[in-house]
Amino acid sequence: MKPLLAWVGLVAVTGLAGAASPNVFSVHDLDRDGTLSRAEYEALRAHCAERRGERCKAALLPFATLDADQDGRIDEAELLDALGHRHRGGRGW
Amino acid sequence: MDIASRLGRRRFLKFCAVTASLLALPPGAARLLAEGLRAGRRLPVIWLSFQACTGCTESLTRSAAPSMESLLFEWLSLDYHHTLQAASGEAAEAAREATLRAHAGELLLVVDGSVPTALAGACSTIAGEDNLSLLRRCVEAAQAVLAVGTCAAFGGLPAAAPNPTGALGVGEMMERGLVPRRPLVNLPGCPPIPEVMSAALAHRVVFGGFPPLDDNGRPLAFYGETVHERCSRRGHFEAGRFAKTFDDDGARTGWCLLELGCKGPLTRNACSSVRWNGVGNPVESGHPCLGCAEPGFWDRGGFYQALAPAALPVADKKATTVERGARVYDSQCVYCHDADPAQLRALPEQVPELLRSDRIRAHRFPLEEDDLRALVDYLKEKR
Ligand code: SF4
Repeated sequence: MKPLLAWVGLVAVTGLAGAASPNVFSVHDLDRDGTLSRAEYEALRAHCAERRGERCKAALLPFATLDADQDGRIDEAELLDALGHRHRGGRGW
Repeated sequence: MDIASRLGRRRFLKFCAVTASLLALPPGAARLLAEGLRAGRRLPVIWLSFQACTGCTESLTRSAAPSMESLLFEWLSLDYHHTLQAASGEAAEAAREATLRAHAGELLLVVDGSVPTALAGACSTIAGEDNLSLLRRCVEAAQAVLAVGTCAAFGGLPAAAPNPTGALGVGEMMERGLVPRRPLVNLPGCPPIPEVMSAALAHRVVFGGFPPLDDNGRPLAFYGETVHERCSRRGHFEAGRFAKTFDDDGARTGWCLLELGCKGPLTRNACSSVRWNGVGNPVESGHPCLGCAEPGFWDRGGFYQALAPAALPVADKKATTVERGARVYDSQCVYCHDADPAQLRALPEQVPELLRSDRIRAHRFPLEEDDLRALVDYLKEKR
């Protein structure tokens, strides 16, 4: 239950935060800055495990894979690139 | 000058963060790793190569920046490695013997290659000593052993039937009492992924032990899932799209390689998640997974022979449309939407049109029609 409570708590806190970035792409972007930080991504994983089970958590790509430029944050382009690549099902030749 | 200064602080901290994340260590572990590695305790290491192709060493030294071998050399005292060391002949052997004497009981032994046990060890000798005798002496002095590559872990190619040299992996030799028992971690792969080697070593240096292992002695963080589970071609597997030959349209488009012999569903390794040098893996390059990280992989049927349907994971055969929709939600939607699909504002039947409309910024990659239908069925059920 703890991860869920922490997640709800964070949502509540960020409800008071300032103006959101126009680049916000995820409900898990709790500080609304347009990127997912490592902490936000960990909260997302915990939330998924809590609500959807370990299979969902296991299906999530590792933070290091999504954060292609390794700046400690996942932006929309990085997420789209990783999901698009996975979805396209490899490159073929 | 400490390791962080030599490598550059940013590169060093990035390495620690990535390693902690790959090992699935708890929050704060990256800082502990950084502190531990900075502390400068250089672990004495002897690296023995037996019946091997030197691919494991090549893999380690060819890894991308930050170069793994440079990091390793900073926190290890690699006292003997007959491929990489400058000394040769008697001087090299003398260095190894000096390390065995000076660091008995505290050194880390890294082994690549399998050990021939037939014909009284005559198949492979180093400086006149057979491999088994050398290994036995070194394990005796070791605090722990790292078996790097499939040959050292499980025997690999040299142990393929009919195994004329009586080749064995280190673990089996311990079990048979041919060498003393020591804590052992297996890092199979032909060759193993460099990040896997450096993460296991970093863990040993900093925390003094090995990360949690599976039944085959492999770190769960890297070998806990199959190649298939995170494969980039998985969408095509789910949709039943299989390349039939290496030059058909399916192969050109990137379809699933199961019918061309892919062993990904039965192979536990991190190729799909920790890609080689961050670039790709065999399956992404168009070649089926050979199953190289599994025991006995050379003797498990032809590389290009399709797995029998009975060998595939049961869940995949039984997947219903709704289950498939749940997987789409698990693997795509949860990154941006609530984990509970009932929270979506759009009605399920509106979803296909919304996704195709290109109006929503984050949906600029097309979902396959079958996936889309499955997703709608799943969303309806969850309403
Ligand atoms: S069978 Fe092989 S190519 Fe197909 S999805 Fe699984 S791992 Fe990928």
